[in-house]
Amino acid sequence: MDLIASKYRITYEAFSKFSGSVSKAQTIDELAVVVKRNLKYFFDFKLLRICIFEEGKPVIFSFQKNEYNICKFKKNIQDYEKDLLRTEIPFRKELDLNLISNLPICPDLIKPYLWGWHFNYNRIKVCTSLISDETKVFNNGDVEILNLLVDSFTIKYQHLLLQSKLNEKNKSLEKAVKLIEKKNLQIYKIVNSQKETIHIRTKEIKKKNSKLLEISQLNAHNVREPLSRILGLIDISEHFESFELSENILEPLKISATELDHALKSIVEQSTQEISGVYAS
Amino acid sequence: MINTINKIDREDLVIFLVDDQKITNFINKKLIEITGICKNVYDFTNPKTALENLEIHQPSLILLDLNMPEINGWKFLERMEKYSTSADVIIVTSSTSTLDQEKAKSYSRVVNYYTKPLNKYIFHTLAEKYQKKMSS
Repeated sequence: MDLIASKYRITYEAFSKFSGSVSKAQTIDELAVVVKRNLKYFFDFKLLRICIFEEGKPVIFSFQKNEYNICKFKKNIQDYEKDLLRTEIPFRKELDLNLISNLPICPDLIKPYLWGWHFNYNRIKVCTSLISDETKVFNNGDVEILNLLVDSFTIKYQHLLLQSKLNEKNKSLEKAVKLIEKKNLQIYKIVNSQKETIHIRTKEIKKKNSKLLEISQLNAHNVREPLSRILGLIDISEHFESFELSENILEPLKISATELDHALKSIVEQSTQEISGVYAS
Repeated sequence: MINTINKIDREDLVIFLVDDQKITNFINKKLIEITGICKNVYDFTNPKTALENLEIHQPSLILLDLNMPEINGWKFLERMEKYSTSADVIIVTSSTSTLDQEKAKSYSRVVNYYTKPLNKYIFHTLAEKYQKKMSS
């Protein structure tokens, strides 16, 4: 009894140390290293495989003495693991080396046994299998500690996976924020340059308008001046004798009418130039 | 009797016409002749010459155009102050600008402001006013 009790105590201490190390792991690789280092304190074994299936995709961890391996290829799933996933029934049987493929185990196993367990978590399924032999004996009493191990391993694995997903999301969010800031800056620049353009155009149009007003005032004068002479000449014409009319009235009338004609032509020209100037610029 | 007085007055009244347009001066001169305000009318197409003749002829009234090259109507009014003259000024312009009309009010010498063309009725009014002034 003392032997069993002390064995439990040692195992318990080993597990508490293991739990501490697990909680410190920052990456999945670090987690695997912690498991590899501590396995020998829990039970004897030749090969331990933990297959995690998440949405049908496998991640296979395999542990041996002093080494571990992580693989994500579907082809590396053993047939017995597929059965386990389907039936969910644990087993212990003599190992038929013909039924396994590509497993990194030494061929000189003495009476090897294959163990298999299936665990269901929220979103993932876990198939655990273990190979032992006469030199490294695994027995029923070790199953409990193995369960605990797989539990804390899987929980930590999920935790790390979520964290890395969260980090990726954060990164892409940061990228999005940076992109938005960049776009905002571009929009700000565009709006500013539009404002500037509008300001310049408005200024130009105001200038042209005042120029047109100036022209219209000048023209009013230029037209009214010869016109007033024409009216004045007509007004005084009745006070001349017929023979005087040609020299005193008709001649200056002709001059004034010609000047009026020039003034009107020049108005049309100037206004056309100014208006076309507005739309050309 | 009245005619005699008028005749004397007419001889005393001197009018200057200052406009760079010869034809305008000709029309106004004819209107003065028709209305019989006075016989002493001097017309100038060059404002500078008009200024130079101010002290010699001592006009009572100057009909002044605003829009002239070199010395425009406003400059003419300012330069007049350098001469010894008591002439009244009537601005006669083809501009319809109300700004010019307002500006004209700031000159005490300017007694009236007309838009071209002038006519017989305006000259009749002027004749009445200045003949009274001369006889008083």
